[in-house]
Amino acid sequence: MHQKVLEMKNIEKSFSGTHALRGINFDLELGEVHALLGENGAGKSTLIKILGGIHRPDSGTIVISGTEVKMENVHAAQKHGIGIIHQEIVLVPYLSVAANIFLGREPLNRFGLKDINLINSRATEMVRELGLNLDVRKPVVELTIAQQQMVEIIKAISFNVKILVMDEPTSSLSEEEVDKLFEIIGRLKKADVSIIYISHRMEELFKISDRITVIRDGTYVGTKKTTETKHDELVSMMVGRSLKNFYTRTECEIGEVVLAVDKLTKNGVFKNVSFQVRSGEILGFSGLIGSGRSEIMTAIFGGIPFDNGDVYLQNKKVRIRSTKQATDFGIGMVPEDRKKQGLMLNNTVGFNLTLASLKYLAKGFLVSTSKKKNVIQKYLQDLRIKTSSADALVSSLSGGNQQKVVLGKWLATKPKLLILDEPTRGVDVGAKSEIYAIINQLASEGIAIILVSSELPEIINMSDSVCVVRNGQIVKQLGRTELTQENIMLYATGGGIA
Amino acid sequence: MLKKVLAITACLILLVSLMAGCAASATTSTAAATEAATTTAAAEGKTYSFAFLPNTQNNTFQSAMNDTFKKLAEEKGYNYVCLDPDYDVNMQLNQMADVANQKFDAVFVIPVDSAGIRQGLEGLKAKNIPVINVDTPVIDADLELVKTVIATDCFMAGELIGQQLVKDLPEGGDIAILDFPENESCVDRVNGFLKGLGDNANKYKIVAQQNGKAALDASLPIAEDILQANPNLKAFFAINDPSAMGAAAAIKASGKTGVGVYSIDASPDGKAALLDGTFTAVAAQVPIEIAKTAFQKAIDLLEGKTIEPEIFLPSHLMTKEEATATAGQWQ
Amino acid sequence: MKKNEKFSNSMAVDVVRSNLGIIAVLLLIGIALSLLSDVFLTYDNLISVFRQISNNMYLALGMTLVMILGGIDLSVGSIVAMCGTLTVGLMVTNGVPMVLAISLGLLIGTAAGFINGMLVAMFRVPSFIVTLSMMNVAKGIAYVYSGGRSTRIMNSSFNVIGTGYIGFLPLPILYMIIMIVIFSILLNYSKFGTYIFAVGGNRESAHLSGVPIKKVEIIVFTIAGFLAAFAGIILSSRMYSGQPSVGEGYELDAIAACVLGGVSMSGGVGRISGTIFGVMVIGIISNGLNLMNVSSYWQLIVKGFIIMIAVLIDTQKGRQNFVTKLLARKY
Ligand SMILES: Nc1ncnc2c1ncn2[C@@H]1O[C@H](COP(=O)(O)OP(=O)(O)OP(=O)(O)O)[C@@H](O)[C@H]1O
Ligand SMILES: [Mg+2]
Repeated sequence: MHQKVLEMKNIEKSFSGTHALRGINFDLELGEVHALLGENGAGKSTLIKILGGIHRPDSGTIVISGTEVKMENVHAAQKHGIGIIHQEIVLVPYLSVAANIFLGREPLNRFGLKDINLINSRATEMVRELGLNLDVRKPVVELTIAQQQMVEIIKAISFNVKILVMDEPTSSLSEEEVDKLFEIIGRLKKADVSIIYISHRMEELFKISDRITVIRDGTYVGTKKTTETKHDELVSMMVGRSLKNFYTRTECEIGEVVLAVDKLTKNGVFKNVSFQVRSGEILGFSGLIGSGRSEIMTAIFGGIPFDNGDVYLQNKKVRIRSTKQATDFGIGMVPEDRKKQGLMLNNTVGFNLTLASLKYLAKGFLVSTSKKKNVIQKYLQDLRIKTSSADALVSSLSGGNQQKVVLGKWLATKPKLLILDEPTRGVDVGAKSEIYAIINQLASEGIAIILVSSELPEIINMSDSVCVVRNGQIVKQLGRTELTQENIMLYATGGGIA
Repeated sequence: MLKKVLAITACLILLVSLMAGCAASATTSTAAATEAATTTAAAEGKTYSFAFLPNTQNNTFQSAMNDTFKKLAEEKGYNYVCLDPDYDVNMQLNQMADVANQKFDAVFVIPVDSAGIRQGLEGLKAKNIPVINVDTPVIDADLELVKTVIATDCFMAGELIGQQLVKDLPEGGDIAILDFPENESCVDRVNGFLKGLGDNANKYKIVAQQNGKAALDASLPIAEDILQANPNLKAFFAINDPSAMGAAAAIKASGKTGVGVYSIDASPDGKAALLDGTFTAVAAQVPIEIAKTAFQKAIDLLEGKTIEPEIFLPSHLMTKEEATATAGQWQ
Repeated sequence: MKKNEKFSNSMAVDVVRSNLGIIAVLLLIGIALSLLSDVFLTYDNLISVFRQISNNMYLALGMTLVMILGGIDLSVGSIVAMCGTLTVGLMVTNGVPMVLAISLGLLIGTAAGFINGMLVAMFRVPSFIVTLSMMNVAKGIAYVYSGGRSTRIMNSSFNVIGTGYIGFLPLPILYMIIMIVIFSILLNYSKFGTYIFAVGGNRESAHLSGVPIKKVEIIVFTIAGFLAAFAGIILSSRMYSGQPSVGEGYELDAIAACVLGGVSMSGGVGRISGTIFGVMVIGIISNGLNLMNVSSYWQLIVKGFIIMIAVLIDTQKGRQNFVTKLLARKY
């Protein structure tokens, strides 16, 4: 069965300043999972947005089930049976889960009003079907990111879709939830739904995709059958060169204790959390989404108050009451949710890069423009941030490049302790490898690093030791030799406790 | 960054050019008016140029004065200009400076702020242009800079209305006052009113005195609340017609009868209210008289006569006959 | 039947729970006032209070929609003045029949709102700027048309609109109740209501979900314009006159009521029930202070404090949330 449900031919698209797509070809067969692979900024999301009627292509054609169509707007795409889970979570924060799922196509009752009962009951059904336990009347702001991601998925598949696009759906899911997602994908495939799947996690592509198309800098590189290709081949197609040393980790000298945390407790959130990080050490934190890892980090960073316990910085007891104090002590933190916490989306790349380090750039009251420029240039180059200029708005960058901006912003503060909460979420392999090299470099310069990550290969390959968190408690600290995926998952899910 | 600077600069330029535009149109219209008046001016004897600087023109009181000045100037063939600052002291100061530069022979001023126009007065004085202060006096310290103050005798207006109330309600009772303490003349009206109650004052209980802001929409809810709080209220005294209309509307809304409304102004609306029984009594302000007097005094002054430093024109109670005769106008 | 009862029950509980802070404030003020003034809790006074707040309620309902949308409408006060003046003027000065004049008045206010909406939606001009301009334009139209003069109207059928009763219920209160019902349904039970929340909460997301964002924005501002026109006409009927100078600061009272009622200045959050309580708090404070004959200067201070305290109580309720939001901005 090689029936083509979708063909996109010679798609071109320019934004003012960037030529995002330069003649992309892409096709989709009935019931297949076709992965789209490419570096940050390669144009994957742009292609998807054209398919979804959000952007209009400058030239090129879209053919659905043999007939050429124009995607004038979102509604047109929905009518053609296209459902999209966008890369950035786009739910309306103060509307309920159910209202979000049905937004834009609410069923009406006989008075012409929203049929709230129907909306709630159908939404509840859908949530149950995916094996989730969620009150659909809760406003979306109160959900965890993972839960929000699931709501996005439900919303997209609830359209009776024929073509489902998932733009990095797993970037904020933990292993368990990813498995659930794959199960859903399997079910959808059986129902003859064709799926376009975008992810930077290569191992996922090998697990679920049938074919993989690689694009680079807006140009079409090639399409491979998944069974007939290898990781390395894909990487060199993507990056244009082969990557050796994916995880750079050199032995570095482990020095004094920089941060020690003793029995930190916030009632109902985390309990008796104790650990130490030394200079030059990378301490990993693993656990399921919602296990409390980010909350522990935020508390140490002065972002939320805790109830009990002590924090010692370089053997001195400190009381960090605000994020300002934390930065004054030399702590930096790359937060988990770059859109909400990490960036001022409506400001420029340069503004965001220097926001946290202004005090180093100021002479008295005024900020030195030349110093600022230098810093911006340095991090744009070091991190290879792909942007048209330092004055471009951060919101116009691809997701991965946005993440690099957040990282750069904290590196510029020259911290003694750097907390990285999912630092490579949505970052492509090339950039990831660069970020690992940077992290390694920082460690060898004597910075203490806490690395929170849901991506097991990352945490296993980068950390010196890993604290596994479950239900707000550190259930086990694993040493370098004990680090395996099985071990971590065992403790994270509660299996390994006697 | 550059974009922002550009945007801000563009905004500033736009703003400045807008302001310049306004100013330009204002001066051109002044110039046009002056020109028109000059050409029509008959060549008999001396031709004077007068300017009227009221606090606003958004009010029939001031526009009645303006109409009077204009009519008198036309009759005599004088130049006449009126500049409206719309309650903006700063704009009035600018207008005073403009007028000083244009060599007018005399200027009639209603200050936007009694204490705020000294700078403008000094400018006029430096050019030897006499200032006739009308309606609202400037503060005492600035009186030296004006030749005379011509206004309605507000104290007397209040007194008259107070006496009328005593006549209407000899047995006494609860009364309420809607005042406007920001304005000197309105304070005088209230003081006059209290004096007008005279020997009988102790029979009247002032159960409420509130700031009606001299405006209908502000006075209406206040009057409603006063009526609620004081079921035995016999009368409202309001310092001007709009405020009194607010009281009247509140009385109607409450469904009460027999609550009197006493006002000062006798504006066209006030006369109508008097005629249809909405107002019980109203004492007159006399803007047309003020304008006539001011006009004459200006001529006297320019002819070398001395004039009194203060001229208070008497108020009178508006009768139904007069109200009918002068309906739709001031007096 | 039983199911229905349960439904309405839980709705009442919901309303109370989500407005806990403001209800507490309202009760506190109510108790304080009924202790301090024996008139406050009388039937007549309460009716009078509700009639007074009706005007702010019309405006605040519109403002609630606009603010949930993430915008602000500064022009409503001026539209009140414009439409009141035009409607009365058309009838009295131009002899237009009443129904036509009212329709024209409503139409013009609605058109002003529509223009606001078009500029906001089509050209993405911040609503603050658009409506600030409209505020001046509308006020200007009112003054130009009326020459600054107020126009009295004694057309009894027109005056009934604002001052009449149905049974014991004053008409403005009846309108208010009808509107509250309509807007509660609109916001909570209609598709359109959800769209307002969606656009205000996350414009991008609403767009991606196929919500016609521009249409929603235009309609909401148009509704606000219509409500302001309606308020203007009712007010002019209550005042027995069209007054170009009314409406000063009405937009701020409406905004204050919304904010008191928990409408977020940044959009996406708000409840009609909250706004209702907000309007009541503001109205009751004025009424109570007037009943006690507190000077209007002190009233300003007291009002300011009470609003501040009410908002504080409200934000404390959601403190955790507040901190996380603050935190999010700090990174
Ligand atoms: N609205 C826009 N305006 C201007 N440029 C844009 C816009 N959207 C995308 N771009 C640019 O187009 C290019 C392709 O971006 P796109 O988001 O499609 O990348 P991507 O492949 O999805 O990357 P990632 O893996 O990081 O998500 C980038 O250079 C980006 O900066
Ligand atoms: Mg993307």
